[in-house]
Amino acid sequence: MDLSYFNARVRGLKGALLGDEDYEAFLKLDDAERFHESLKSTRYGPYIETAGARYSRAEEIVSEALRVNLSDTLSHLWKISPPQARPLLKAVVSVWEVYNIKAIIRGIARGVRRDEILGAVVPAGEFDRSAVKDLLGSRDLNDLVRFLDSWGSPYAKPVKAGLGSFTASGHIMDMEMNIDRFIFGHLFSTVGSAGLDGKVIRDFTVLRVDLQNILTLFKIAGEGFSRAGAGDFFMDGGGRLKKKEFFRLSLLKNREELIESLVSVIRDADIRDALSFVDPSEVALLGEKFDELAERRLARLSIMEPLSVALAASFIYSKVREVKNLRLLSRSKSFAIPESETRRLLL
Amino acid sequence: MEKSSPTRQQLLILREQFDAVKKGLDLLKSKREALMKEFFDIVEESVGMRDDLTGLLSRAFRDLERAKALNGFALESFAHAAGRKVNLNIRVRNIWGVKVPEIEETTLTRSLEARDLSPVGERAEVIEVAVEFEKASDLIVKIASKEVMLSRVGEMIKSDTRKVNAITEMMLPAMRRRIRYIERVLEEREREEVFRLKRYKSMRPGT
Repeated sequence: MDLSYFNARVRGLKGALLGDEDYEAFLKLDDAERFHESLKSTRYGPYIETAGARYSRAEEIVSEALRVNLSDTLSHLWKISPPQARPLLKAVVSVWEVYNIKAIIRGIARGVRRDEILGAVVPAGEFDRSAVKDLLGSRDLNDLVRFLDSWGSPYAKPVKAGLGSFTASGHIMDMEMNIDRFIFGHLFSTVGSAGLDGKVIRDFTVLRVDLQNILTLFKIAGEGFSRAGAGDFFMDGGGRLKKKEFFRLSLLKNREELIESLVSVIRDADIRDALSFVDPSEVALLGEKFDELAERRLARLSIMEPLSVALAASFIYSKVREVKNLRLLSRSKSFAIPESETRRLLL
Repeated sequence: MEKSSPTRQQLLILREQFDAVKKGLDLLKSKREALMKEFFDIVEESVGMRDDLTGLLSRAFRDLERAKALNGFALESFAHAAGRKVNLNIRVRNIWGVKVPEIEETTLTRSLEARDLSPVGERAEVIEVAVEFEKASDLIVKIASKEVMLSRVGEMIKSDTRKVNAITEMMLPAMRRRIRYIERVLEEREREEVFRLKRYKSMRPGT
């Protein structure tokens, strides 16, 4: 697959990302207003202006501007990507697709106002802005399934499979679990393993499954799930953490013990490093560490294989990281979070 | 105090009443002491719980800000799914005859399963923030129950103190004065009687 032109454009996008010196300058600013003003002089300026018409507080303006900018960047990347590269890019963009469809299901199921749901989604990939608006026009979840079905969306099947449980008990967990189980299987079947790009994305998806399974273990630790109950949360397709090990580790109640056991089970040096770094009382940051790990791996691959799809995939992670960093800076200025703490959390 | 004729029978009734009021006063004092003990126990517990709440909320808000910064969108979507109605049962507890409302203990902190969301794609920090705020809500309900109790017991102590003061400062001294008055009148009558008898004896012929 010839991605040279596409990759050149992605390099341009990547080059426009903020660098360490920009973050240093932002860190030195005294308050949220100054941060807000200096962000206006970057390419986020037009987004800040537009968001300023809707919101009044600096951190709300920045947050909305970043959300729309991220969505626009992902849509732009999707638009400029050659059609044959899209199934591969979907492996990364699917994180947002899954997030969006879940956010829409939650909102509709719980009767949340549509504009509030819209404020929580990040249109990307298959669910671009117009698709999201159409989906939000659904009266209920049955209607949502009809929309997805009529578009031929692959997400129609898992959502439909969970409708029975929702109708019977009002529970959406089955629907969400179906989507989580479906997406990895779907990615493995569409990506294939042919060619360099296929291999890159397949390996990346395997890593994503492994990281997801490890994070799930931390979330269910101490929740009192039985072996079988915890097994429902295991995602197939990973390579570093076997189902048998997942079952065994899911019974551990203590996070320290879990970290120790994972370090002894996982062979991957980067994952072991991330696990050793994590403080058992602050595993919340492990998700960010794992995102960083995935980004680093893709960035490494994009250097080793400069013509592969790894560059675009790594750009998506870098862009998401930039958005997170800017949100963090904005909130740290608004709520006077100490600079040392902000520095620690900057990704 | 109602004025009555100074008779022996009245004296006996008054003495009986005096003893009954004194016993009542002792009982009222013990009730007040018991209520005070209960009051200070609740105060101590309540202050401890408020300290815990302050610690819990400051941690919860710090983590909320961090989650908003790192995963603000995910947090919003999670919050949309987390909405629910919470019913609290209130029962009446009897402390030394004082009826105080008490909120029945209930656990608002939900298990992962009860959240009705797939934990697979959910951010751990978002779930942790939810747990922290639910723990804070549990504590707020407990504190509310204790503080309602505290205000009812406090009101009762105040009212009992007023009663004790009225009895010791007004009622008992008045009764005591009346008893003494009747006793004096009766003694006077007795002395008159003795004098009359002596006089009668001296006036009798042949003595």
